[in-house]
Amino acid sequence: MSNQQNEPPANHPSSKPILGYSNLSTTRITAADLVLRWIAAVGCIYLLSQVLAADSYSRRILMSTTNLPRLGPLQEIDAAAREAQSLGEGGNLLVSNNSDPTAVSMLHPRAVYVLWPTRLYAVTPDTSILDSAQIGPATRPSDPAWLEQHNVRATVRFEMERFRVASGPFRVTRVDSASAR
Amino acid sequence: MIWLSLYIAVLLASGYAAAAMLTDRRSPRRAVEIAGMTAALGCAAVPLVLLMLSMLGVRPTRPVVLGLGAAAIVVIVILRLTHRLPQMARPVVPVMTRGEVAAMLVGIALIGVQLFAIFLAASEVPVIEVDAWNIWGLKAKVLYSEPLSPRPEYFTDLSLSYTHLDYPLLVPMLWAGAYGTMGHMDDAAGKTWLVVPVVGIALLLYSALREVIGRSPAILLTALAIGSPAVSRWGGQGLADTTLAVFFLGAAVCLARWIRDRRFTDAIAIGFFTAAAMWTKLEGAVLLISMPAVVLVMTATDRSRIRSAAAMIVTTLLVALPWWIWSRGLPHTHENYLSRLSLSEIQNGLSRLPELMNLVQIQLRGWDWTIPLGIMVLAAAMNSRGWKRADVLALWVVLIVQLIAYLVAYLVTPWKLGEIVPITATRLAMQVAPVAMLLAGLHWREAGASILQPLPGHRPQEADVPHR
Repeated sequence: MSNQQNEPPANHPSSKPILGYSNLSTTRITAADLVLRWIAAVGCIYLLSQVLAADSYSRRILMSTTNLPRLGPLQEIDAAAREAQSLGEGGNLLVSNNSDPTAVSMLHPRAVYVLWPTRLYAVTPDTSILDSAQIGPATRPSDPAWLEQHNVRATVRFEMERFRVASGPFRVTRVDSASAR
Repeated sequence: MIWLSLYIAVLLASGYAAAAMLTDRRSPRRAVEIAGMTAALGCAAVPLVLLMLSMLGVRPTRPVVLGLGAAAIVVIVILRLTHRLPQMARPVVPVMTRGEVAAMLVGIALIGVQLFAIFLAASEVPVIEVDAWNIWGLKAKVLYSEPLSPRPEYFTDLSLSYTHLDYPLLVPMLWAGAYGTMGHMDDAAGKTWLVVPVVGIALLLYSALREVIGRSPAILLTALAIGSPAVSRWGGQGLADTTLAVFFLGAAVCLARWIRDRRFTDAIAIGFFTAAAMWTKLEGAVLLISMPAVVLVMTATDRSRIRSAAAMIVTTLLVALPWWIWSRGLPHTHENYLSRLSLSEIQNGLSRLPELMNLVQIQLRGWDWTIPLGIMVLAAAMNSRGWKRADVLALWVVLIVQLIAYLVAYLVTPWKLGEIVPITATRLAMQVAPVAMLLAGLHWREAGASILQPLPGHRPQEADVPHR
């Protein structure tokens, strides 16, 4: 198809220059172009159906921002962490040795994030932790000078109220420093 | 919410100032291109300046962020007074068939749903992804609480190795900038800025595609790039992938344009986006190899490009240098891919290849990623003329180098593949999808999706002439 034949009339809006070119009404449809257009359009329709599907994340969040998977358990952990913070009298916290290791492994990384810049120590800073599963059974800092230097004001014990594979609910209690360490 | 809106306004004002400085005023640009560059550059310029200030001992507080916005406005005013703001091309309304209009509406609906879902996740929901709080969100709190000089205790606390102490800091600083403007750390609202890079991807990709193909195919390809359910799933969570994707796309768009039009400013933009990608994620550091390599090869074949190639490399080095200096001595206790890149490690990793292929195939199966990939492959296969173009070949090189880097990282990763691939494969696909769709568009051009015709009597400048 000739491009000249497709040239728009002089007063047509698409005759106005863009980058010195008119690139709009001179479209040459080829078989390849047509195939690509159809596939792209059908692809978009498919993706639209996927993002609006009943079990999709976007559909869930469009319907409600408070009823998302994982949000509930995380909020339980956040509440436990803030409860622990309130026991710390404005200072940093230490996880007690007699905490439930599973609860500590589950709770500690999230609590560290939620409470920052308040610190929740479970191990000394020179112990490399690559996986949260290492935190639960690790040995806690016990040197009084170190605890003093790091402004640790309270030792808290984390337990799960009942055994569950999934996270929470948790119980946080302040324990006597001497017995905890 | 007012402070948060102001922060996003600062991002956009700074981005516009940077876009105006990096736009050659002699040739008019589409408004959508300037808007895309504004979003992309804003996401790079603001956190980079805040990081430099933090290295000088200044935290990202409200006066600092607002001061940055004021400086950006001053730059814009100066550019306006000196007539150096970008010249906008007049919008043109195309003649379209009903089918094209329908296709466009589908594309726009898909983009709209995705952006709205990302906006809701970014602005209403607390951080719920493990990587988002462990890696990016925690660093954002550290950067908000303390400046980088003296180095905060966090970065040497080995007990926090699982948070990747040595990861780059651009995304955490984008986040910390929001906290600074708000005056407190609220991770539900504080990550609303996450919408900006996704909007940047959409605008930048659409404008780059519109240079070569018609409106409806450009919208469809843009929708395919950000239309996967994975994008709405991860885009608003507080991860760094969409931010990296916009820088990767920005560098690719400017590279293709520099090859076609030889504009000096595009070369500087390539360097800036490349360095910003390195500041964003480890995957972004791959651009430090691919972009200069392509630029140097192009310069070797055409010596007139030496000045702009040098500008690109100097820009990259200048922007990247502070991170290289500051991050020296950070403990590499987790992953440390750089130390694993030995021939023996890679050879050992080859035995994981069958398992890797199987896991990746499981993650990317279904049509979510097959459709964009299929379009790209089909467009490339159907239009052999595309392979003769330097810009197309350059983008293929950049894309393939990126994919090879992902492959090598999987081969040498200390993680079990069964654990890492399901978490990361779709995110990596998100990072490269916009560039893949740009390539699809460049090939599609040769299929006649839109033929650029000089207006009668118009004698465009050399810089305006797209290569055919």
